[in-house]
Amino acid sequence: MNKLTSTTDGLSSASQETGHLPRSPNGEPSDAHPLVARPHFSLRKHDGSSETLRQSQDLECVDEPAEATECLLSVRGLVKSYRKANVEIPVLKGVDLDVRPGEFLAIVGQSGSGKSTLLHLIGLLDHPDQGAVFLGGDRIDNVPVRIRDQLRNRTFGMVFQFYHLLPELTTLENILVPVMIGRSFWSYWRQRKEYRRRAIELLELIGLGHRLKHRPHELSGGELQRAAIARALINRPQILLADEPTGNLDPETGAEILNLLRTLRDEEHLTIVMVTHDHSIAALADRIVCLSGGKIRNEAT
Amino acid sequence: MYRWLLCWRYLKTRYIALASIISVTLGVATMIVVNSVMLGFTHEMQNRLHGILSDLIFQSRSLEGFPDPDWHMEQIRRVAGDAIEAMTPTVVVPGMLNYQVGDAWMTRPVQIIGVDERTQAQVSDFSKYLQHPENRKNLSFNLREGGYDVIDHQADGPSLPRDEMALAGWEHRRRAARLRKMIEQVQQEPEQQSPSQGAEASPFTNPFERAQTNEPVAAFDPETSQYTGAILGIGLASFRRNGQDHFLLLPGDDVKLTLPTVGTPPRIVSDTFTVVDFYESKMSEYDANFVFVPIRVLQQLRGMIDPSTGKGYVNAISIKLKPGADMNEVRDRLRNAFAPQYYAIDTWRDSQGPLLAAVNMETAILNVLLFLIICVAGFGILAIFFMIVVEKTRDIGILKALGASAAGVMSIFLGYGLLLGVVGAGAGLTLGLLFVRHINEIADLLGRITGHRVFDPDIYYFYKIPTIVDPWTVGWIMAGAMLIAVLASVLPALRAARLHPVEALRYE
Repeated sequence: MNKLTSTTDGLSSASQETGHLPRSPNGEPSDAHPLVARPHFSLRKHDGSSETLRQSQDLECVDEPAEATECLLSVRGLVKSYRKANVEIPVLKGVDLDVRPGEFLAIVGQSGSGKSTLLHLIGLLDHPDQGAVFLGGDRIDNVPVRIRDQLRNRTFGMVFQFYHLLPELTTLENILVPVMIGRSFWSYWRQRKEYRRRAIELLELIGLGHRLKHRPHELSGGELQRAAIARALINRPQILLADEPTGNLDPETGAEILNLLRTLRDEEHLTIVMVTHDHSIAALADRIVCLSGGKIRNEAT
Repeated sequence: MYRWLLCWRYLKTRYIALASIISVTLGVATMIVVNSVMLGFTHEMQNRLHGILSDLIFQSRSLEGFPDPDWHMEQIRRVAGDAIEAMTPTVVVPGMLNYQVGDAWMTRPVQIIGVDERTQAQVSDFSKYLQHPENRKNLSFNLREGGYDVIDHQADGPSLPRDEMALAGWEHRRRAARLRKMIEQVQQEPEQQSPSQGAEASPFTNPFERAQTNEPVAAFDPETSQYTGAILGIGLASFRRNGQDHFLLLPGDDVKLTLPTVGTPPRIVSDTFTVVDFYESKMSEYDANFVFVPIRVLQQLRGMIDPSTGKGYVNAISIKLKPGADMNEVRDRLRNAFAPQYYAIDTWRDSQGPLLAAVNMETAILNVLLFLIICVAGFGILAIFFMIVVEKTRDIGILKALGASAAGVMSIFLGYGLLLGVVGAGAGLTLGLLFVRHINEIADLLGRITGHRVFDPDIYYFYKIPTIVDPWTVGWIMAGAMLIAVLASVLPALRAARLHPVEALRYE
């Protein structure tokens, strides 16, 4: 872990000093930060870690896919507390967590155990009081705002308990929102047909191909959550963060959603971190960790 | 992209926000209407003032005037000949007008202006405002046989006919003379004709001038001869009721003019003139004040002719400049060349400065007030935007969770404000332009509904409300309205941008 910390610091400072413009795989200059633009891991390779490469990480190898490693996502000593009416309520008291690439991890915990907070910290929606979040070995919780936004847009996909689709937009438009956010007006406009095709493909994959033009209030809960998942996946993120994705659904639909997530994990080469209070849902994940008292208590597979 | 999409969708779904920009719309429409009408009025007024006054006025500071206008004109031409198109000498003197209506004598204070009939038409629109078509082409102080306009030739719309004018001319004069003779015969009271006692009394009277002014020395028969011609401002001879002009006098009638002579102290002289035409500039101030007579006659009457040279004194020289000449520059050149203690040299703008400034001031104040209305509308937008931001808190959280930057979220609401401003100002533009286009119909309709004339031609001397739409003014109004809409959305947009994503997502 120490190694991890030292190398990542070296990396981020080097890339920022030189101002090196990374190129996306298709050769187009990309305005994305190396952290965002680089595919950190080849998700199909699970052949162990490579200490040598990790140590020799420098600017030149930023563009190149790194060898697969133990952890895609690591959380170290995460502390977070909220202030309410001048009383400090500690929520996380030093959480350590490692997520391997391609893994489907479920974090279980009671309501108020801080699992959503943990997910928000991983997804860069909030700042930890102490501790660090690493993505592929690079510290990401302290990067500049612009890069945080890009990471949220491209690297993480988010699914919420209450779906959170924008009521003014149709299903298709809702799914395209992350694409629009991540690209300038013109670059979106030039490639809009391509993005549309990808969105429709995705909707068909999750079984909503017939609901393109419907507004969110015309969809059922299961359909809404499917649409939300499609939205989370449109930018081909590496990691899908799901916050109680089945919390508002009946068990049957919930199971369907979970199966969908599993399928997607395989087809889209995703890593999934899901928080839930429902053990039966969590049982469908690869690995379960339990969060209570602000710490990861036990791990079960 | 998502910003514009969301702006557009918000615009289409939040009707309450549209309600908040109705005041912007109304403000913009009112500003356009007010500016168009004020500009129309100003333009019309300036045109008329300019038409009446000529470009530059070279005036003596004294009513006594200065001698030898030809020499002065030569000097003026030497100083600024390159810019001068035409000049005419005039004599201006305050006086009294007397005429008989029925048995009563009417007395009116007037400004008597002696004009040179050959050159007056070259420097101003003077002849355009006359009522006989021949006089408009070729000014003459001789009474015409008939054929005076029975319809206002300057009216750019329907106007009520002036039937009484059909009688004007020699026909009217002969009839009036016959009638008077009959009355005299019936009363058996032979009344003495009184041809120009005042002129006779003047020490400088030149008997040879009489023939020139068509005034017989011997027996005067009003049926066949006239006194010196005079052109009266139409306001002196008529009054208007409900758009219909009623005439107290017609061309062919005789009037008396009384005025002071030169010299200290001045004496009062008086003479009889025959009205030969009316002058209607549509500026009531002038139409109710001006009496034009031949300059030579006025000079004699006032004793302004130098007996040794036979040259008359004049008060002023009106100068018309060539098109494109810089009025102020020529004025300054002349001011430098002539002794300022004797000569006042002004452009027509200078001499009407206070009036033009008052109109401009009025327009400016109206604009400020109306712009404040739009500003008030801005606060409406602010309040409603705050509500929308609160309502959209969760959506903002989602957008941020999906990677939208604070600036992006902010620009949604700024863009929304701009879009509302565009819609509001656009609707205001349409409404304002439609209103301006149909302003006369609307004024008529309002008049019919309220029973009170909104635009009373008795007051304004225009039959229609003059309007001019200035694209620049309209552009500024639109830009101002849009700017206010954007400014009003800055605070709510900032609030939205500052929302913490986690708190926003938790917001119920």
